[in-house]
Amino acid sequence: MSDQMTVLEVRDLVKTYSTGVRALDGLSFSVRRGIIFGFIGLNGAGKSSTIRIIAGLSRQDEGTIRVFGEEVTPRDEEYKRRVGFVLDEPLYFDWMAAGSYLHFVGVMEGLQDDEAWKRADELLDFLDLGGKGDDPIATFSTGMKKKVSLAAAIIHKPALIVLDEPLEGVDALAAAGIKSTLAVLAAAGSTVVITSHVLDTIERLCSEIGIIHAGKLLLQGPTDQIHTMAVERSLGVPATTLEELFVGLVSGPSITKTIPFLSNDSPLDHRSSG
Amino acid sequence: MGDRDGSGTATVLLMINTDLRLFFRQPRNLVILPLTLCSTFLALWPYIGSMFAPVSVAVFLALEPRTNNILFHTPHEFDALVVLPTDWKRVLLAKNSAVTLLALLLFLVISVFTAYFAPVRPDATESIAGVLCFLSVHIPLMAIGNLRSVQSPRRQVGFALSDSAGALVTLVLVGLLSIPSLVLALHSPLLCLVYILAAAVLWFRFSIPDTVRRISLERMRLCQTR
Repeated sequence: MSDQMTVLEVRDLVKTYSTGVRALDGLSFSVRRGIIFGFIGLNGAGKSSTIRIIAGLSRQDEGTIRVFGEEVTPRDEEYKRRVGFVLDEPLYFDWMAAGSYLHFVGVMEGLQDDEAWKRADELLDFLDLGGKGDDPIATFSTGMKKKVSLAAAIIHKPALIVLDEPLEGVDALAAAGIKSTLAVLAAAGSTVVITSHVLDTIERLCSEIGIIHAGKLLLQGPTDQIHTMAVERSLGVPATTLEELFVGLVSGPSITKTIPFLSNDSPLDHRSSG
Repeated sequence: MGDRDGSGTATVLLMINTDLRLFFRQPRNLVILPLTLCSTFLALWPYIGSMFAPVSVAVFLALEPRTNNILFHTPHEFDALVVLPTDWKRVLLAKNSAVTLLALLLFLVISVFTAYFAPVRPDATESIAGVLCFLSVHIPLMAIGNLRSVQSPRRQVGFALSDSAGALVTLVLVGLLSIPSLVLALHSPLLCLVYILAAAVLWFRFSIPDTVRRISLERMRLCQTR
C-alpha cells in the first residue's frame, strides 16, 4: 500500500509496441499530493505512452500503476471519477457546442444537470470563452480547443489532473489562461501532472520535475533542487537553467556541430531575384 | 465533490439526446434520400408484396453504421468515453434506444412518402403487420449489431469498402431475420408481438451485458481501431 501522501505511483512500467518500439523500459516515479509535477522528455521518450496507460487507453506489458493507493486495472472505471485527463489528441466531440460538451462531460462524471451547466458556464467565463459557449468546438482555434479540453478535465473537480502537452500549439494568451487555471487548481489542493516541451514554463510552474529519456526516469526531484541533485548523483551536467540541464542529461557531452557551407569564408549571396 | 447525482436515467437521456443530434448533423446520413427514392420505385413493382418491405430495407441500410458500429459514431467517440468513468451498460442502452427511435421515425417518414406514390395504399391490417414485421427484424438486428460493433469496429464511417461490406451483411441478416417474422406477422399478429417481446427481453438480458463484457475485455483492441 502506498503512503497517504502519494497520489500517483508508477512502478517498473514496460511497454513495447507491435512495431517493436520499446516506449517504456522500466519507468518508475511517484507524485505526492498537492504538487504540480512536470514530466519532461524528448519526443518519443515515453511521456504520452505513460499518460495513455494511466488514462486506460493503452495497457502496459509489465509494471503497476497506483492512483490514490489503489492499483489500476484495465477494467477499472471508478478511479476516473477522481482524475481529469487532457490528452494530446482531439478526444472531444468537436461537433458539439462548447457549453453542451462541458455539460455532457459533467453529467457523465456524475454531476447533476443544473450543476453541470453552472460549472460549464463558470469554466467558460474563466477561460475567456464566455461568449463562445454556443459555438461548435470544431470552429475553435487550437488554443481554444485546449482550453475546452482542460475545462472538461476539471469540471468534476478532480483530485488529480493529468495533462499531456496542454501548451502544444497554443498562443501566449491561451497558454496564460491554461497556466492560471493550473495554478488555481493547485491552490485548491488538486495534484497536477503535466508534460510539456516548454521547459521554462515547466520550471516556473512546477514544484517537482521528472526527466524521462528512452522510457526510463533519469532524475526526479523538487524544481529548486534538481540542479544540485544532478551534480550530487554525478550525472556531470553543470547547468544554470532547466533547459541546459535537460539537454545535458538526454544528449550526453555536448559536441559542437557545424554546417560547412555556412561556416566557410565564401560571401553570402545577396543577388536580387530580378 | 458533493454534487453527485448518480442518476443513470439522466446519463441515458443525455446520451440519447446527443446521439440523435449527431445523426441529424452527419452528412453521411443524407443517404436516406436516395434510399427513400429506391424504396418508392421498388414499391411500384407489382411483385414486391408489401410496400413496407422496401421501406424497411431502406431504413436498415440507412442506419447500418448506427446498428453495426455503435462505438464510433465519430472517430474519437470511444476514446473520449474511455477516459471518462463510463457506465457502458447505460451507454449501450442509450445508443440502442436512440437507433430504435431513429428507426421508427425513418420508417414512418419513408412509409408516408412511399405510400403517397404507391398504386395501392396499405390498409390498417397491412400497416400493423408492416410495423410488427419491421420491429421483429430490428430488435434482433440491433442485438447482432452490438456484437458486430465490438468484433468489427470502424473508426471512420462513410462509403468505403468496409461500409459496403457492412451494408451487404445487413442485407443478408435482414433477409434471414425476416423469415420468422413474415410467417408470424402475416398469419398471427399476436404471436408476432410475443416474438418481438421475447426478442426485446433477450436483447436486454443477454445482448447488453454480453456487449459490456466484450467491451471491457477488448478495450485496448478497440482503442487501436484504425
